[in-house]
Amino acid sequence: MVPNKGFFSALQQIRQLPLDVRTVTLGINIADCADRNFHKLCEGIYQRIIAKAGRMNAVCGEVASLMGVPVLQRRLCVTPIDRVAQGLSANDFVNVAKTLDGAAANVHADRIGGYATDVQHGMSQSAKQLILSLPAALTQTERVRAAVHVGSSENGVNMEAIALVAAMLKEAAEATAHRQGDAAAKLAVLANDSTGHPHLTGTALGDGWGDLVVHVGIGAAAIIRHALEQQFLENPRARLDELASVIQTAVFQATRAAELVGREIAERLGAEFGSIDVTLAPTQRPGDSVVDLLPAMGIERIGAPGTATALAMIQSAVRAGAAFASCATGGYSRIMLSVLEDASLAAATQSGTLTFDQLCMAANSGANGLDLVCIPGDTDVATLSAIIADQVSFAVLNHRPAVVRLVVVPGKQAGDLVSYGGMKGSALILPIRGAGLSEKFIQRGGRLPPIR
Amino acid sequence: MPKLYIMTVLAANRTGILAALANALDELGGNLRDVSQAVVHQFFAMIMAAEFPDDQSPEVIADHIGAVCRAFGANVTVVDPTLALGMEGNTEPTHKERYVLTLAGRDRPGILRFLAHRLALDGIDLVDLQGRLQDSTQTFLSAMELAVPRGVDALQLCDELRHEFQSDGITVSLQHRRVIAALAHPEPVGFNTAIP
Repeated sequence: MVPNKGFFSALQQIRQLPLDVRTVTLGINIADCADRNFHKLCEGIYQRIIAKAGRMNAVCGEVASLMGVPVLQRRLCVTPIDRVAQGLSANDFVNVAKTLDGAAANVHADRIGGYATDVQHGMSQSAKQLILSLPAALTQTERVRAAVHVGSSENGVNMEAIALVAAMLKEAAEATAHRQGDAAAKLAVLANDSTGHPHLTGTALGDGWGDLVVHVGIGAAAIIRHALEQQFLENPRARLDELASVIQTAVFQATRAAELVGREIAERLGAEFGSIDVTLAPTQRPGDSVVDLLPAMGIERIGAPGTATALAMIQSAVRAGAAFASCATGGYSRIMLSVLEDASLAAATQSGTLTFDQLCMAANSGANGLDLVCIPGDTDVATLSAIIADQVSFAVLNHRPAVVRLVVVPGKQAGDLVSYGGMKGSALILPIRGAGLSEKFIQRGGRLPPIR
Repeated sequence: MPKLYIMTVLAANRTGILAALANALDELGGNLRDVSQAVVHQFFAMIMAAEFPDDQSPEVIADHIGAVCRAFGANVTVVDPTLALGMEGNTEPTHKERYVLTLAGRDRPGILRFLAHRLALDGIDLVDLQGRLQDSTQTFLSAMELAVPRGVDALQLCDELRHEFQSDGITVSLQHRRVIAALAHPEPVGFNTAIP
């Protein structure tokens, strides 16, 4: 072994860290692009995005090269479209989505969020038209991600909006049956999204930010796994509080590197630096998943008893490490169990160790709702609504944010395997117990009152 | 008007060498401006830039330090930087970024030679180098500070070096000094670049 003391020891630890920035999201204020003339509206939005984000890709590359820290994804988000484009028909909204898509493609952004509306209290005509446009908008665009905010602890839950969104989700899936319903994966249903941090896919530039702001997101799983492995070399019988300290330190380091990169990008783009989101979201690299942390800690398979405790401990340590590293940490900082983007999680569902029910309950131990879970194509709209409502209610009761992204796969049954390209991998269609038994409840409509 | 000299001292590393050297400098009216010291295999080595009164010749300086540090077998060299050969073209026209390059793995001949040639291709200065070899396992860890001209892609350079040394099982990392500082120190990072 190489001598491990002093300067060399410190350097040895730092040099092996798998540092990267998972996402750089440039938030652009387009509120002043509102115009009664539809063509001027679209032209204004397009030109604003090109003007503000034209250099984003190059700058991210420059800073990644300078710092030696890769930037994995470049994203854009804009002011919620339902505020900018009032009084449009669903067809017009689809053209706005195409405008966003074209602008994002022009500046080489991987995704653009902001095709979003907030309907916690009720639905305006514009909000309703935007929701009705979702199947066509998500089918006819590539980079656009949509979000609908349906509830919060302060304002309650709009059950009628959930039912409408669920219907559109199913329609979007069926419209892309030839692509295994991938349009459905682009729609996020949100609860308690009041942080103003656009770290979830599809979310818009929140209130209270300036005209141009850079947010960064970190996927901390790889660096935590590395840190745990190093710790086990030194002390294979490390106690859980010792492991929590190791996780905190690793997250501290990842957060510091991300802030440095984010601030440098912000300066070069003439933007403000916004926030850092430390999530346990997967990346495309093998072993880069929260699932891979559990065996290291002593839980042989995700879903085994103890999983919730381990996730809660990781979640707590991640937040502590991130909070100490930077005053800019914010957003969700939660565990993302994105089944379709997480090879380890998908494998766990295929081997039967992780069920739909367990994924639903994981939300109570730090997970961020139900993310990219594949379900049978014949799932009825009422059941979809009820699944979404359950997750939203968990979040509202526990005063935490949640995201639900369900992938309804047309023509597929529980137990079938589906494969996608790009960032998504393969996953099993998960059976839903009790499907079709909630229809009358959903049909009642109305709103759930705020949590008192 | 004080005169600046560059000096090296190589001596046996025993207790008192630094005190003897400091005494000699004091007696000569010298003032240290920059210094770097290392101990390798029981040998003490120091390179320094020091100012002396202009009536002190380099020969006198070298002889006096050598005499004071004789007990340590000191070998002293004094160079007048204004007269040194090969320094004419030494200009620093461009801003350079500082990185730390580390390599670790099984030792083999030619690693440093390849590295030095590759770095020179991009006009990269190797400004500091430290390394250790473990005899029993023939593994080494080497850390070097690089001054890299702007425009050099650090990620690409690191990938190239990784590719080159991969077959030997040598791991390579290249990190900006600011990243290392951000990880090692808990002060706020990046605020010098914040928009007012």
